[in-house]
Amino acid sequence: MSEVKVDTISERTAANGIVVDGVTIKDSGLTIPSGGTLDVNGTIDLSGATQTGIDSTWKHLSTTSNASDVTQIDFEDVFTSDYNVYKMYMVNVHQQSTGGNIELRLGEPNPSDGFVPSLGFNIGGYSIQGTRRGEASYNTEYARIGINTAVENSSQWYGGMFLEMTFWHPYGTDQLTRASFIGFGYDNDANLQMPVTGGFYDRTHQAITPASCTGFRLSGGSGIQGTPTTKFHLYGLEQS
Amino acid sequence: MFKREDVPTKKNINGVLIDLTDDEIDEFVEKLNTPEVDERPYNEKRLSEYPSIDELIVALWEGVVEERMASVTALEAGRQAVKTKYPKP
Repeated sequence: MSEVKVDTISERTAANGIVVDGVTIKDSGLTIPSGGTLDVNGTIDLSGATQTGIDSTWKHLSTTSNASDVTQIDFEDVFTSDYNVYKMYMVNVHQQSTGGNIELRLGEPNPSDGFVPSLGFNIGGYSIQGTRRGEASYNTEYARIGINTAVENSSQWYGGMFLEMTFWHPYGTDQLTRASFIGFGYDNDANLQMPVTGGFYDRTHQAITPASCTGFRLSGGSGIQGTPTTKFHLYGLEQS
Repeated sequence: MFKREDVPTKKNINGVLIDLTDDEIDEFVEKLNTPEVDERPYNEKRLSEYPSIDELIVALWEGVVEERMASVTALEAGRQAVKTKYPKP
């Protein structure tokens, strides 16, 4: 066994790079030939990477937490021209007082600028045993994504709402902004409701140029609780 | 009635907590204390509070097959109460 210790290995022939047992290192790149395997048992940090060659995969964009009692949770500049479709996982959204509604407003373009004044929405959840059943409405600034929801109660096991929400074309002005969602929630009587389903769209701009939405606001009842912590995981759909 | 001390004093913007101004707190309290106007058409309001199809089927079964009318009577009273609550314009 021998050991080579050097500070730099440079290619001898400019066009060839350096080949180490079949693996080529050239011009800051590493090429593993056909049949080879890159076996990683540690961590790959791709946070600064540009991904190519993989079509239509979800890229994690951000995770936002809320651990305090707040009146609202705003997301500003989260929708960009980089993606047409976004997915957000809302984990444990629970409001301050039982019986209120969880509402979402589309910014125009951001919540700090104003809101799309007229949405059409339909919520299909809470339709089995809730005190209030699914609801549809038009021409409202908000879209309800939860109705008569229960507050978190530390002495019981029930919790807030857990939603997977898809935003369709929020940034682009070639199509209307639409969103659909599915998940779990607890009604006013602390009965588990599943699935909670629904959708909404930008009704204001349906006959004119669609608005560009870059953010949205989530609010609920008399506010949103911070205990337990609420998390929001945002992903964008990579497109080839 | 909600008071200032009943409501959160912060908002979350992109994960950052920001103190509400006095005006924002007052506006939030006022909004909470303002009864919501339900602008849905009467038929949607009725639909949201009518007994479920499951409840109707069970009541009908009990009434028609088992000749026990208690559930039918109770549900019908509930339906009429909803109609009275949201009258047809």
